[in-house]
Amino acid sequence: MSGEALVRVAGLTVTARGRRRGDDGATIVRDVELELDRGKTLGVVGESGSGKSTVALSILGLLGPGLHAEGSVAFDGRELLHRSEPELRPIRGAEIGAVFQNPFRSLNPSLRVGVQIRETVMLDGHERRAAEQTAIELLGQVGLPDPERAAASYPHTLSGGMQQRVAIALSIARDPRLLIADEPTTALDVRVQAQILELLARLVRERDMALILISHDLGVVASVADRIAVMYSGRVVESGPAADVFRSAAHPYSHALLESAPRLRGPHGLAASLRGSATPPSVPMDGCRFAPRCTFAVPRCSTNEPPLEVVDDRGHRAACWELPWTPTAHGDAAELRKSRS
Amino acid sequence: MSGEPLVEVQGLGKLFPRAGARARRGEGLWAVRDVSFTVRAGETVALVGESGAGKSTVGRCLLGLTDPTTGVVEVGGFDLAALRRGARRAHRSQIGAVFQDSSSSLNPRWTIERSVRHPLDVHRRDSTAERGRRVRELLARVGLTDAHARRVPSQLSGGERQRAAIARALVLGPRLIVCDEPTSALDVSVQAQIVELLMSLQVEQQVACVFISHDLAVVRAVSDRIMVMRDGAVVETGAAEALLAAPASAYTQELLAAVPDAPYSDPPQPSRQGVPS
Repeated sequence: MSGEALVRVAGLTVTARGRRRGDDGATIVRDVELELDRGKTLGVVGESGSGKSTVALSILGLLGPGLHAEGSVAFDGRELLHRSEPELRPIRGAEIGAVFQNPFRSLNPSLRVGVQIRETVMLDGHERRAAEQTAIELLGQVGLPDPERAAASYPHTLSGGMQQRVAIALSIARDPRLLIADEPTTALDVRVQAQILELLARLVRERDMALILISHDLGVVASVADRIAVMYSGRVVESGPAADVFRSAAHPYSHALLESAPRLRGPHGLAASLRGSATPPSVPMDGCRFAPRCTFAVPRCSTNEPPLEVVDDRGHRAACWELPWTPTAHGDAAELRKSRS
Repeated sequence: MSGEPLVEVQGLGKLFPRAGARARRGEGLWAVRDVSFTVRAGETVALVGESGAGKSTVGRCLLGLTDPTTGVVEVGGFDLAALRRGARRAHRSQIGAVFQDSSSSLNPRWTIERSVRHPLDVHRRDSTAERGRRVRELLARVGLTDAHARRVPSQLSGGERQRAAIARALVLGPRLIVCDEPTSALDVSVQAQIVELLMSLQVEQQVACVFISHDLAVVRAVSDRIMVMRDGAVVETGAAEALLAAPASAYTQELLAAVPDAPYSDPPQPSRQGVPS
């Protein structure tokens, strides 16, 4: 784990610049820590506004002009934050690829698919002919049934799933060591989603590529991730090996989130264990940001913010004063709620 | 639970014609083909399928927002398409609707109170004072305060807006509500709240529900019966748990296999209570 992580994010804080002088600006992401090894998959889960995408954009150096990042984003030992655009260019795209939710917006609508991929491949100095061949091979690798024909198509003639495959082909065209996929299957039908997730998992395996998969969908993340980070209101509240986080969630929020998810097998899920909605990260507050919604909050929770602390020796960490938090240690959650109401 | 048949749909078809001369030859896209089903009073029937399956078009036919090309849609014994305008409008008050995008189903410049009250004004129900009372009561029931009632939609969160939309759908005391992807735009925790609210209200007010969704896991929790659609036609229909446990058609099996199920957290929580069965 430690020592030679491919990606190490530490103390990452992103603020939006204030409009007036003297205005401190709004915090969007606070003190985020992430670690990812080569060839592994990190799943980042959280609800809207939790800061997942901002973390992704910080790593890619794509934060908008009004946003300011502090802390550290180390990629393969090199610091990425505060690099100038020319310094970032050889890294972004070549070493770090990206796939977003809307594939159509990642593609140029007026260029044939093959041309877009060829141009990208040629950035690495390949000859036009060879690049053209590579483009078709890539389209085959991402599972398009007729790569030649796909290469000759314009994006709008392809279905959403096909477009996402093309966007993935484009993102891996320069053989990056890290791929960041931000809600890559959210706009897709469930059968296509399964295919795309399978494709991503296969590419990770075959290319020894690391993947950061960002999603609001616990099921999606659980199906591919080795490690998980759960974000809430701009912070990472829990992280660790996927199996550990899912099987024995250490943070009350992660646990409630798992209870809220609808399920096909076993209990229905969909327990409305979380009342109200999350405090936006921009709202300043003392103490744990989850405390107002937490069934197990103690007085200390609303005055001091808990740090991300080690839960066990397998790298499972959580930010909660009441650790080790287990539903059993506090009585069954559902029972407790019932008795309180 | 299994009351009188409230909704009867027989051989429903909807053709979206092509532009120009080909339309006159009956060419176009059959969004819905020969769909038949019944919904009993108080029952929840889910329509599931992928995009383009025709679920929403069936919903729009039930709401009288579009007329069927073939077949009959009867709600409470009346065929909406056969009614004249006045009668049609009066009859529509028996059917409520909740859509995915709560911001587009509420007037952005009206307060929440005015939007929820509007159906009562349109249908000239009760006295003015009585209308105000009914709106306040319903808003409180869906978990909105007087302060929420005075705001406009953009000042509410997505979950709060959807609560307001539910209040509006129920304000006339409908016998049927059509919910078209009511939780698809919401966060997981908020989705659970809204589903819980919808289900408890439905039991309380004895409303039948047609629940349209692409999400099989959500559908499992809310519905008595499930109808799986593909390319405009019904693939399979059955009691919810039975259909999901042992789907008969290859298509449903494929859909179920594709769902990445949310993992459990130890210890397993007691299964959801209050599910009408």
